[in-house]
Amino acid sequence: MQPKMEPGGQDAGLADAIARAREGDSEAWAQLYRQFAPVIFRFCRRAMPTREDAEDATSEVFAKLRGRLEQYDASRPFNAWLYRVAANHCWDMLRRRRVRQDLETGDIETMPLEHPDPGQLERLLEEHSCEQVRKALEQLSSRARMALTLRYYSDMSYDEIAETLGVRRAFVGVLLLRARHELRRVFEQGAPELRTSATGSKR
Amino acid sequence: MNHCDEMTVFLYLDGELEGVQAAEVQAHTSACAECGALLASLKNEMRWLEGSLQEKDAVPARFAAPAKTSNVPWGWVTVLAMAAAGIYTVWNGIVEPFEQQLNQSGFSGGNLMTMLFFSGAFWKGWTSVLSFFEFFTVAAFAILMLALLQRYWRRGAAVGIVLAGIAPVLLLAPFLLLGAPAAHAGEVVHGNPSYTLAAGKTVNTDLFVFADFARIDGTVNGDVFVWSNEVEINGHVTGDVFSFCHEVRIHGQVDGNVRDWSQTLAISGTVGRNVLAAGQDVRLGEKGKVNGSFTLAAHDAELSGQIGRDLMASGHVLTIDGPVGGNAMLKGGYLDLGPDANMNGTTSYHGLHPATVESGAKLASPIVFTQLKQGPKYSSGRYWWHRVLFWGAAFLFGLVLLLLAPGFFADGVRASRKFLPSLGVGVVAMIATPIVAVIVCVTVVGLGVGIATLLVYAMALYAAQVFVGTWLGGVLLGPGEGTGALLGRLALGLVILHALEMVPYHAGFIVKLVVLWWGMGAIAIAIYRHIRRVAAVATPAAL
Repeated sequence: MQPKMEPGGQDAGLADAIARAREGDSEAWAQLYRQFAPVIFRFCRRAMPTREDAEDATSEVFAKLRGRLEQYDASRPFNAWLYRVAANHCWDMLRRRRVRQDLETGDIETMPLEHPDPGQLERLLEEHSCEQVRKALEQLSSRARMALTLRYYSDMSYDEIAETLGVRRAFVGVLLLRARHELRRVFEQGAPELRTSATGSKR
Repeated sequence: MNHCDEMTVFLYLDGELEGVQAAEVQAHTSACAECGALLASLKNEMRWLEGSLQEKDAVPARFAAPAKTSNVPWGWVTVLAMAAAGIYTVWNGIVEPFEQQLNQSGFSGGNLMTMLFFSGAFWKGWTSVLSFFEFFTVAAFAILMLALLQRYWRRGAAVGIVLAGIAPVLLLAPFLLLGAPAAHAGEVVHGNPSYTLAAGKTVNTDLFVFADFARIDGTVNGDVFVWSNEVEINGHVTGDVFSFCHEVRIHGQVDGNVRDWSQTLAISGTVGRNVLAAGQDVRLGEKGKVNGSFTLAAHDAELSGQIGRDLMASGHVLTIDGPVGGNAMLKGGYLDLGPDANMNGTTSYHGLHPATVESGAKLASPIVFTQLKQGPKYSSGRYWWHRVLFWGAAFLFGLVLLLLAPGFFADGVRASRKFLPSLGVGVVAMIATPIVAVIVCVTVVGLGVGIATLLVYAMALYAAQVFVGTWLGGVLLGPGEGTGALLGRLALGLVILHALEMVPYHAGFIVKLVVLWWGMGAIAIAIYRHIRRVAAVATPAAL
């Protein structure tokens, strides 16, 4: 999978481009952009509720990156660092809006989780396409969507997720599992377009 | 061991359980079918999520393959060219005929721009200091630009660069405007609070007066520029008079021209050349005499004195009760020719009501009257045909904009979704842009920049409806992707906007104004975003 990091295993070309971009070499910057803009856009697309938000966020992340490139520690994977910058930016954007925040911080954390029926869960997995999953993300609360994106798109560790979202490390597992429950719920009772193939066979 | 709960299995899968706990879960799930199934389905769900999220879906073109920054932005160039063509048309259709009329009525100066900015005394005061200021401004501008460019280059804040470019111009403009007359061999007086040039006294240079009340009883051998509440000229001015006042009264003699932007202008003296006046009331008293032409735009105009050459007047109520040597071109609500009126040339009148000609009035040729109608003619087919044409023009403009600059179009529509910010930005942009542009124009350095800004401004005024229209269409038809869907929304939105603008009793006008502000704001925000994006993406060489 392309977005996965390759710890320490950056190719020499990338390292060189980063070094040159830091010196202000515009060609190198363009190369970095070409290489990473799609990756960052996909990240933002998953983390943000709408396509417009994602486009805005991507532009803004790159505007930010340009100034921050000097802070990048070359011994660590570039991809992971990029995701951190993008994640922090998106999370800032979402927090500033305070959309759905009340739900996220209050009820959801204390709400008991229904024990899943493995058979039903398997059916749910079979019946929905990748595209539908991405579509369903839009309906999640900001925090759930962000948690899923950080973990399953960016491959972040529990530590990194905790730091990005500003929660205790011990809480990350709860957050992820609850996010998955939220997603299942969206499929079970959510918008009709997400249940296309499921309508007949479900329940 | 009891059955595992979902959380435990989940953490086990993520490798978050301690050794002993992990071993327990492992043992239990391999023994218990139910918990084994849970483990398997959670694992599958994880893969399903990873697969779904990491699948490479479509990315907008500008992120997938960024435009080569060395490319010429043809979209923008074409749109600008179109705007220029539009401006040219407007110029040809409206400004030039107006200018010709001005010339016909004996007004000096061939070109409107030259006339406004550079000809006559406006320019005179500058010539002696021009080279110095030009050099000073250009040098300061260049140094500041370089410094700021260097600072902002790597951060890529193109907005900063633009601001950096405008700032020195703005800073220098007042010096240039005020400094020029000051440096010219003219006398500048600030009233305290009033100013009087006593009878018998003479000023042998141009005179600049800033006062509450200004009174000129003496002689000025040069031009007079007045910014004052009230002005009374009883003496003699050998040059021109420029006034920006509440009330101006000329009882004395002005050998040159009078150019007046005041609420009230009353002339009962003699003006050697022409008069240009824009204000609320304009009066030429019985004893007043203008040897040249008289051009005016006022609510009420009462002309009882003598006008040597042509008269061009636009106003609500026009009264002429004296001799007019040349042709008269009149436009207004009411026209009254008094018993002493004596029209020696042709008289053409575009008005809401026919002219009243009192007995005793002399006319060399009959009045050519063209009836003007107030408000739109809803019953005429021509009116509706024109509305359709206007709609078509706006749609065509939007179509071209969408095809040439889809990214910008999308930005504009997106920005118009935020009504209040757009409206706020729009009001500011609409007022500030022309002011800045004119200042930039006047500072000579930026004549090109200033005119370009005005062109973009004119284009934006027209484009405002396109963005608001597309937004409106989107609200009604729901969001749509792709060119066809956007065009449909644009068409529908424009129909509704144009229909709303036809509502009488000012409602249509208010709609039009709000759409203008709103769209202007959206455009300003979109341009800002575009610049920022270019700054983030582009190589500095392209900036």
